[in-house]
Amino acid sequence: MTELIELSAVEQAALIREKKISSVELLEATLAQVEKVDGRSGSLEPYVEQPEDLEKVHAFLLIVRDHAMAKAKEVDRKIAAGEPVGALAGVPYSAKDVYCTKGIRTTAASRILEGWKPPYSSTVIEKMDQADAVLFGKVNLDEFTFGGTTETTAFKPTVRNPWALDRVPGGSSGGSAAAVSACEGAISLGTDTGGSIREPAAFTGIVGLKPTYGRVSRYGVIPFASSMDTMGPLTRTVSDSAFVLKEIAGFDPRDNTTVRVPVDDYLADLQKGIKGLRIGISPDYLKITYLDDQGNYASAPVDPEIEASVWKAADLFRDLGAEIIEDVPMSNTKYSVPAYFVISRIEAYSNLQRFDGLKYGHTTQQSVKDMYDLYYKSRGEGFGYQAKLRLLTGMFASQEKFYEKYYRRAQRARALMRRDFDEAFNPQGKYRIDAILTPSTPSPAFRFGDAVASDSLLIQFADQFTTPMNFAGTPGISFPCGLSSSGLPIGLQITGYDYCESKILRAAFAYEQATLDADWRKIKPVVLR
Amino acid sequence: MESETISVEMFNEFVQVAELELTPEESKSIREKMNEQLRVIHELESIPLDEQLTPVIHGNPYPRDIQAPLREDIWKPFENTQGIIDQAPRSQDGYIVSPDVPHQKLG
Repeated sequence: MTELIELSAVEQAALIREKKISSVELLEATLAQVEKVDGRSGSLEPYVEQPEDLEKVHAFLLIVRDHAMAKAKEVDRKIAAGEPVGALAGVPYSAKDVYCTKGIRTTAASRILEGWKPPYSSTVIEKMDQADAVLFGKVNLDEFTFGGTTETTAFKPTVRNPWALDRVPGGSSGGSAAAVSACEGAISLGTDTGGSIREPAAFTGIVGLKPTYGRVSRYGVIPFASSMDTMGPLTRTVSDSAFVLKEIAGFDPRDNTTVRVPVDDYLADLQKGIKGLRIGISPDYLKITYLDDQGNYASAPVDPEIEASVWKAADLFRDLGAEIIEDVPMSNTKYSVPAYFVISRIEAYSNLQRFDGLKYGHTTQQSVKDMYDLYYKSRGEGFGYQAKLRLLTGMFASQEKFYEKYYRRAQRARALMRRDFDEAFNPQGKYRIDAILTPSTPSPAFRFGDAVASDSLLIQFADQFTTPMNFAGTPGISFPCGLSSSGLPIGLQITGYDYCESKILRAAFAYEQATLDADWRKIKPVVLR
Repeated sequence: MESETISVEMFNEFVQVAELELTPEESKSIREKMNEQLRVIHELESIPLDEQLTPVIHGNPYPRDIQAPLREDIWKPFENTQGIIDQAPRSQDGYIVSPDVPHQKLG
């Protein structure tokens, strides 16, 4: 049993196609693992912590056993009958609970969507279904993806990091990351608006891929900030991310921001290696930059173990035939925090206005005097603290009198950050790089509560290395590169230019293959020991 | 740095427009948090921006050759309208039931 659930999706799919195992058998093994490590699911009931809660992962909000079993049986029937099946035939996967799933409860981890069953599925879920993958559960997240720790979910208990149960799994795709890390499925679908795939992947020792904006359809995914929301996989291996991306990428007439750019054969491309690939390292991604109390820019180094990992990886890439280009300036990175703050809040405010307690989801049980009273009460009860804060901050910043001063200025700062990428990746420019190597996060996973209580800059600016890619629209992949001295996973990020997922996957794959025998890879998350 | 703050009156106006009912504790805490966060918003003012720099809505450009073509303007009914109605907390005869909608006479 244990062996099956530890296999990659590529391996699982091959065994099913070769009839060495059945899809039902694999699903049973996966559900048994959930039963073993996950504990009780997050719920809206008043939460009273039990001692056993501290020992479990709590990644899942919902297990759809019957739905999954029907699909698994259908896959087994097709294979037995010699009928064609999709590339992911029989592979169980979970989805962050912002992916709409027809007839299956979808919550965005918010009370405001209590009981909602979407009348349609998102394009990505449809594509996974066409690939014959088996959706078996929905996983927890920060409410409406608003956070980087999964602590803002309305569904408690929240998710624990499988490597250290007293630490956060990251977020907002914390349920996805924890599930995959704990072998509760080889694939989970996440979303990334400012690092929400890459940061939790780094914190839990797995691979997380944020594709180029427009590469994967956003249709049917509950939005946070529509100009930055990106859908992608979290997996344990780079090949699995390549495998999934091939299936979910592509133009979708229902999402006007998807593009007519051919989808590469990402899995096959991994074999091309990285000889001659120009990988840049930027000093701007080896420090946290912030405004001090006097209003001057100051900087703080990232965790020394993390910086050392970057240089060690650079040496390895050089040994594998890549060219390492040092001192690539990405000097506008430091502006990402305020600009991201303003744009993401304004877009979140706009997106949250659709929830009214009238059409679907939570509605107040109090008596109301009119429709507006219903709105006030339902929204007041339904939204959590962080949703209310972001909604009101977005409203404040989007006032007409502040349009030039905040929103327009943030959009211009966004153009400035994009310019960094255009210049660094320009094939005729000074640097001509194919990819940039950065830490995924300035520190490993932190303890519960620290995101609010700690004054550590490394925690407060945990997303400074990931938000620029959401601003620029470029792809990024986080992959594990070792463990800190305290045994916590460390992630590195490779970012590339528009629609160059193939290159960053190749680089991450080369690193993965070259370190397959590393001692740190033999160490498992505590919940698997 | 501008020393703008969100007053109680201003905050209450936002809450009204946002169609939220907050507890007194939430109101106090969220207003305080928003005033703290103004510091981050004001950091925008310290970014040196070239006046010629064009604002962008999306990071990556959409040249015409990769853009999605506009769909034909043809009405396509959703195949599962009952599925939509079924999700409404209150419905009747295929309609969503709402409490009274207040009317205001314009002067």
